[in-house]
Amino acid sequence: MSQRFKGKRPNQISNASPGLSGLDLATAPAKVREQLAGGKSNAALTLAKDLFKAQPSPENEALLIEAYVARVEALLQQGLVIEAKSLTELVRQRHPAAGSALDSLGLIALARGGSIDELLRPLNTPDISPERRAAIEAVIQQHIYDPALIAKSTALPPDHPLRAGAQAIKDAFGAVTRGKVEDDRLALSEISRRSALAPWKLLVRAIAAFYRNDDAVCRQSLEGIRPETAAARLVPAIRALLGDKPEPSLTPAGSHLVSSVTGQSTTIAALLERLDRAFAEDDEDDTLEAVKKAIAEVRRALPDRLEEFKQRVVVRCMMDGFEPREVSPLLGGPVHPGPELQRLLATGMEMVGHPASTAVACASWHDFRLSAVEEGWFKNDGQEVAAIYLHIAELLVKLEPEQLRELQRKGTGEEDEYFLRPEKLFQRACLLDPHTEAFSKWLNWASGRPRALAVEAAEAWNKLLPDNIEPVLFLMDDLAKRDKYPSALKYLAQAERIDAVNPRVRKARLRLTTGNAIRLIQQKNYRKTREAIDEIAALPQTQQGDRPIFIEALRYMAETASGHQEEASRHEVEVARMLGAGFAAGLLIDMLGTVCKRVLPRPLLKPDKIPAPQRGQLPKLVARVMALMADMETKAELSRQWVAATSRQFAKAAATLEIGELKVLGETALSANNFEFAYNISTVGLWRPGAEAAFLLLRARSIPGIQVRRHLACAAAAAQMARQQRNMEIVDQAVTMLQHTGTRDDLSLNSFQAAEVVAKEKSEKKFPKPNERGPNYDSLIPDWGLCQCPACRGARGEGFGVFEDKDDWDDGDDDDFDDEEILDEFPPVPPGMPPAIAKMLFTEILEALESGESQESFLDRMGLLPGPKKGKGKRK
Amino acid sequence: MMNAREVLGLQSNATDEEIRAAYIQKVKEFPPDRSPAEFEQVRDAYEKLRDPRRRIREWLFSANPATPFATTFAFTRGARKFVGADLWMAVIRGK
Repeated sequence: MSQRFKGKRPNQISNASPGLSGLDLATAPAKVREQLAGGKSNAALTLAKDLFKAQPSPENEALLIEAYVARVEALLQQGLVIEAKSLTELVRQRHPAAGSALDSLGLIALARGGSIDELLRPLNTPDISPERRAAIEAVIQQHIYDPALIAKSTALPPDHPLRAGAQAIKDAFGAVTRGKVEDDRLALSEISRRSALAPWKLLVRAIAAFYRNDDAVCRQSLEGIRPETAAARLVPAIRALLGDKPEPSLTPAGSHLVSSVTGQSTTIAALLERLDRAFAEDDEDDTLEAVKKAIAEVRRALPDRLEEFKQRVVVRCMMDGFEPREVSPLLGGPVHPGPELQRLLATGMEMVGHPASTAVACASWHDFRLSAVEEGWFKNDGQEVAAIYLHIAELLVKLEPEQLRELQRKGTGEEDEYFLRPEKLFQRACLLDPHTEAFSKWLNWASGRPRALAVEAAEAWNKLLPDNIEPVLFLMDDLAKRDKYPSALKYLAQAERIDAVNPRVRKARLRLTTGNAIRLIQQKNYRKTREAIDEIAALPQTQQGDRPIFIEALRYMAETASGHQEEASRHEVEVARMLGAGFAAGLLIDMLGTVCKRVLPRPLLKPDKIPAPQRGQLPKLVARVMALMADMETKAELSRQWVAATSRQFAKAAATLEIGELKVLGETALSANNFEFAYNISTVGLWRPGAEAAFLLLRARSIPGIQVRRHLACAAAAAQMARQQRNMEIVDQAVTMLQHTGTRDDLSLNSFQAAEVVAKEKSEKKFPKPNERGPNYDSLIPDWGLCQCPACRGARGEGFGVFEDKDDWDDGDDDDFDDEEILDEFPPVPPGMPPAIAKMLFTEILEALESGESQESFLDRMGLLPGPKKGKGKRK
Repeated sequence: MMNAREVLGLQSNATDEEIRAAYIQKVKEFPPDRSPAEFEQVRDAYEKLRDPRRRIREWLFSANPATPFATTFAFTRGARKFVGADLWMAVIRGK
């Protein structure tokens, strides 16, 4: 403890020392700390001195030293280095205990005071302690604001790593601020990551990256600079140059740097930010005011970008629904209606997303094309124009069909409004730049439209890209559907040349040749029929399974058609031999006769004519015949009589039937609306391992409509089980079924629930009686999955609440519309109009009301709008 | 948000070779294991530019009129003048 004031009693106040007047020794230490925490180093030091004078204890000396240290720091921060150094020496003399605390301050004072040599000299001594070295390097990193000072310091030899590194930094810094420098020239390998100069290395790299427009690398380098280092002082300015909001705000030197590098004042940045805020806040007056100020400043500070700025303002204002008359006066002159504006406008209108703005977007893309071609951006027959046409088409196809029709009807006033017609746009795009993707989009769109549009797309595709198989298959299928087999077969031949192993192509050969043969039978072209059947028989795939039986049946039909009954009988016998039963042959031939539209020389076979011993074979043989017809893609339905007869034999034969046969019989039963038979089939099928999904689906389709929850449970369980088995065909069917019953998309069951459904359904072996509720699935199928109107609830046997009145339920029925309302909304039916026409008109009125169509639109559509037709004006 | 050319640091008339070279350079700077987000950005940009038709579409349809004015017309667009070391150092030395 230093020798200070002695002999005084503690807590006594000396009148000789004015600073001590009013000093409370008990609370003074706390006050000192409070002032230090508040940054009031001068006041804290004064109080601490008084305290120590009054009570020179070790604690108070320590507090005094703390206050001195704070004061020295404050002086250094103010740049009063000499004062700081003097005070440091004074404290060191008076209070030796303060030595270590003042050491780092002393180093800082050296750095700030420019005594670089004195600061660095200890680094050249070999016995410097690691702590001292670290303290000096920390000061170098944080308080030396120019590496050049280190580079020229004679306290270190020129080859000292720190001095050499500082020189390298100086050179690199100069280079990157004068011109572009590639990264490989900035290796600065002499500076390690742990060096005191490491932050400078990152800074140099950041600046180099900035000037290379490599903003990502620039930001990455800035991230690595620690905030307490001297180099970090440039980080806010660089961030501002990158377009980020600088934190903290820029110093005057920083603002000057930014405006010098960019040639732009910070005023304009503030005005532009204000403009952005105004648009974001949707305040009309504020926006217009901000536009006015921003344009004035851009005109002054960025005259070469004024036109671009005005264009963007115009488009933003249009997007936000401003009237042109509000914005035009602020622009100070017209905006050049060139391709830049048109493109911005088109994109902006797309972003608005309303059908009306889509029409403007389409027209704007048209204008863009014209002005871009005129200004030489690209040629009118190039890929760019094709891309524009395709882009406009894609905009239009996103609209609902009714919205598109409305747009086309209203028009835009242009003479040629091809840009509102997807078919014209696709055609133009594909002709200019024929490629698979464009054609595919065209055909995809056209496939949901009238046939002629799709055929046109496919034919154009095929003509321009004859090696693409998709249009060939489309045209082939289209012709086959219309029974134009010779032409379809020509396309098939083309498809086979392109890709003979394509599965669709391989299947098509059998299908089309069979269809062709049937068509020839219908036309009674005997010679060609025989040739066609011979062609089918020669196909390798015709030898598989039961297909040869079908060929024999076809031959029977051909011979019968040409009157060669003896030959025909021979083929019939062969069919019976191959099927193993005469009645099966008769059934097959009868069904084929229906398909071929031939009247057979004998009456149709009836199931009651089947010999009794053979009746047990009915289910198996019927399944076989139906499977064969399906395999040959020949659609035919089994009569209800046959289905009923099969059903009667089913129970005995069930155990012998394969899963595939059960499935075929199930479809056959459903086609004949024999739901009980279908149900019974599902009962058998559910017990076949691995086939639960398929037969749950059959169960769902066969149960009565009243059992809605059960139907949904079976369909949902079928979907779940099919997913587990990766049987996407059944998944699709089940999901479609659920969608058609109007359930929510998220109705699904987990595997445990699905297993529960299977177990319950297995136990329900008998077809439900009328009004029977069936198994309880309330816990699996919640109420939200079902329509809750009283009628549906009543149909489900659930009834409705005491206070509910069925008649109060709004089911959206047309009957809700009041006749008086209708007559008020629309003009009365013209007198003398025939009742049938009046009824049709009334129906149109109801539909118009439902769809929200305006009166004017309706009358225009009906041709009832009074007055002359409006002429087309210019698009606004 | 940067468009594909800006991500790869390309001029508007960059050739196929330049595009490919820029992509390779960027992948070296932002490898997927160390900079996954940046790598994905670089990859997306390359996909847009490597195919001539996609490149045309990127050029024609990437204008965004809703980009903030402060971003479009602020510091980094256009001017990045070299001003020498003194102005830069003045920021570090100053207060």
